[in-house]
Amino acid sequence: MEELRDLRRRIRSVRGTQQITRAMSLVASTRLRRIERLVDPARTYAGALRRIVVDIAARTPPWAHPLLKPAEVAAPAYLVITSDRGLAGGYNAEILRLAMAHISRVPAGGRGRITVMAAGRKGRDFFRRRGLQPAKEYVHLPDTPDERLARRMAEDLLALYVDGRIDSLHLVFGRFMSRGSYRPDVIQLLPVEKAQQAGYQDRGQGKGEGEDEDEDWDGGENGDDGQDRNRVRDVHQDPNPGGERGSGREEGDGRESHARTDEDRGDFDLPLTYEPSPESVLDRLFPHYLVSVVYAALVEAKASELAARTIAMDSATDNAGELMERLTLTYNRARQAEITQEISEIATGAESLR
Amino acid sequence: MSHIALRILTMTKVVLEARASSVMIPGSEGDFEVLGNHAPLVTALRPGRIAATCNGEHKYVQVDGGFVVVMPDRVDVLADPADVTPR
Repeated sequence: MEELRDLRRRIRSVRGTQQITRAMSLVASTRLRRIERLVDPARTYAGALRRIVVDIAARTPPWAHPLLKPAEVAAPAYLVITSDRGLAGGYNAEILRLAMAHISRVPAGGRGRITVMAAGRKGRDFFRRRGLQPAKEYVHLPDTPDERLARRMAEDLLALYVDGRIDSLHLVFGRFMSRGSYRPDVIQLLPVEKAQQAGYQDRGQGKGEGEDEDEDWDGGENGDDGQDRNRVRDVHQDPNPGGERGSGREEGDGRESHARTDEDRGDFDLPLTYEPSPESVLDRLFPHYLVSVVYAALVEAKASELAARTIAMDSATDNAGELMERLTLTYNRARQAEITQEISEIATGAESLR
Repeated sequence: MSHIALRILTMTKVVLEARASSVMIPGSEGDFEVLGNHAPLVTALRPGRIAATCNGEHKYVQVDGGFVVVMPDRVDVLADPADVTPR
């Protein structure tokens, strides 16, 4: 009896958990659908600005502009974007592992002057525990990344750079690949380097032009770090059931046509004229560029987080289902055994009365 | 007449994507008109109205600032986000 009641209680509790995980997966996947729409415009915008910045950098001697001077890597800075909330599988852990891998690679001389900036509560708490007090922290991130936040962050970053408190700037965040996958990535924003692979490029471009190696949009610093590439999370499953699929597919089509138009738009093959001058355009453009990259990274990070949460909650739901099946089987067996025993007891009792 | 692939973009959305025969742009150094095969140019925008002629039809977009990248066959307007209103 005791065992049966216990099993019943466990089944009920697992069912409750499953209801919660299923609801969380649905909520995450619905929110993802909204955020997903922001990813491409943000990438395109940041990619277009980046091409200008890189072009100016390539034609301007590094000493002519403070943003172009080469880093001595005496005071590197990392802006790490994580989520405020957990229950997203390994999402935050993977981002932070990549960030730590890069931070620990900084030569010992510069170690003392590493600046960490954390967006997202998970990252902030992690760095605090490690004794790396973030110089700036941005918590309670909005559900939908907004331009105001990106602007505030970019202003902080630029101020630190202009004050000389940092001499290089990296961004660590989750690159959104698809609804079923994301990849932790690092990009270098400052200083702007001539053959900078580390910036932003809209996706269509990188995919469409295989020969254009150094313009690969996902360049990042993965080139020198093969292991990052292996961290691709790829779970093939369709997180939206039934009728929702239609809309997802529509979005997919939109993206493809977009990729095609971007393919036609090659890189600058002609010398550009800057009015009034490259330096003055860079002065005005760079803050704008920084905002757009931070914004794009926030959008990608949010999309990755939601993708990760959808995946994690889906598999939790599946696990709960399996567990419930096993428990139900055990329960039925135990019940059967009990009935059998009772019958045999009654039979024995009746036999002995005869 | 050669056409220009015009895109007016903000961070959050594509405001306008069209083939235009001419585009009037309020540049920081003065207004200018872009036809096909314009020399490559990058400049900032001042607040004003972008006027595009698409198939004889005029399209107007108000911008508060941003940048424009002009190439012989295309024009990308990277508008300052909050302030874009198509008219």
